Amino acid sequence: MINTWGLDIIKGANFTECLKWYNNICMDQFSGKNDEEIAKKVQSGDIDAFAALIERYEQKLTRYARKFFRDSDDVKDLVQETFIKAYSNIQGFDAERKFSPWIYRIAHNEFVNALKKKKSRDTVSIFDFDVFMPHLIAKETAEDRAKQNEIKTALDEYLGKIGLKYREPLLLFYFENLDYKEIADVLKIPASTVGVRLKRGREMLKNLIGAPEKF
Amino acid sequence: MDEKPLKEEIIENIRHGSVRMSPKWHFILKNVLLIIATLFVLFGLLTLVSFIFFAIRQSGIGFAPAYGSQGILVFLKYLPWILILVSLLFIIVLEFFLKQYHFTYRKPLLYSLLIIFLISVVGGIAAAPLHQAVFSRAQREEIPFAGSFYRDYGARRLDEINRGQVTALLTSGLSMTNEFGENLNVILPSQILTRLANDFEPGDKIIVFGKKSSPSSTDVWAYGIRKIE
Repeated sequence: MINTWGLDIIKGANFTECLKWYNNICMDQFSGKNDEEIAKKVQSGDIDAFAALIERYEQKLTRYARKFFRDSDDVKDLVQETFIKAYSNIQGFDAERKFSPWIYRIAHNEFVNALKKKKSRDTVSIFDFDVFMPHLIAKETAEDRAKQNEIKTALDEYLGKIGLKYREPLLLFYFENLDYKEIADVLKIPASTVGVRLKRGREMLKNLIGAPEKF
Repeated sequence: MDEKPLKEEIIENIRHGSVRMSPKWHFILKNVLLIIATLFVLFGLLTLVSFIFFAIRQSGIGFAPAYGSQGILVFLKYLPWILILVSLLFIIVLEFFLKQYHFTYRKPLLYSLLIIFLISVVGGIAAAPLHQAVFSRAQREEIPFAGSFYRDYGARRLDEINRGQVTALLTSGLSMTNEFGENLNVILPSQILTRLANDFEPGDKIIVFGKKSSPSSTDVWAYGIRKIE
């Protein structure tokens, strides 16, 4: 028997429902694929594939942007601009590398530029001694991982009190689940510096919360 | 009024052509230009550093630190500082270009700077003799553009360094003709005088470190002397 469930929906539905149904069909074809495979499809001209990438990253980038900007219009505009830049530059993406650091890098640039335009004090200095000197990479311990939720809660509460330099690695690590190398790619800093900033960021949180034993 | 979801808005803009994808060749061209610029700056840096080593060797200031604090001061005074500063600028530009690659920015800045520094020093020392041939041609005025640059740095007239040939050994020192054809009377300290006859003879090419008693005088009060090739 031929499956006509899609047609049944169309018969009795309005345009928005049809669009939703079409979207679901489109998105289904990408469900088993990773970001890099979908990005490759976008490179070959598949616009629906880009819609799938937006679907995957809209929430993540919006959450990331909200940690920088309070105004929801600003957040929407910046996320939109990030996706537009990503689409325009998708041919420059190397599908052999990971997609998430690439799109977070675009978002990072957008946010930093927007902060500069707003003349916010919350900007990153051009030269940083941490980037210059080698450091031992402070690996995340099992205990750190166990306390991840506590750190996330504290980070949400005291975010505004932590400088951008330490805030971004903390956000990318704890909220966006990027590893050291991926964060290094987003911020274009050495992986060992990511470790140092995460360690110092956690220490700042400890001091703000006044309960060192929590971390 | 209902706001359009972000995804729909972006996709609609793409479908209408108001958002366009930059072509692949744009990125390939960008990468090729970056590689060419990086190689160009690296070549410039190596040329400059090798010229600095050539100029140090040619002027003889490289021997000066062997004669104590006085020699070190002369060395620092006559180093081609402008060329050194331009080289540092080249290093910064090269670092900026290399920072675009993940194999560079993922490592501390110190490492890439050290690698650039080592490459420029080793490459500079290795390539320095190539400038000798250019300098010889510049002296014969066979090079139209860089000729004066080579003559200025290769045959610099330095107050405290005299290069030339021994014409005679004297009781107070020796007489010499410098590379500008001047006859100089070199007065040597007693510790050098004692072994003068053993170490030097007329016709030897020498470099003398010491000041003239006055700008118009031909007497040079030397604190160091050595044979050169």
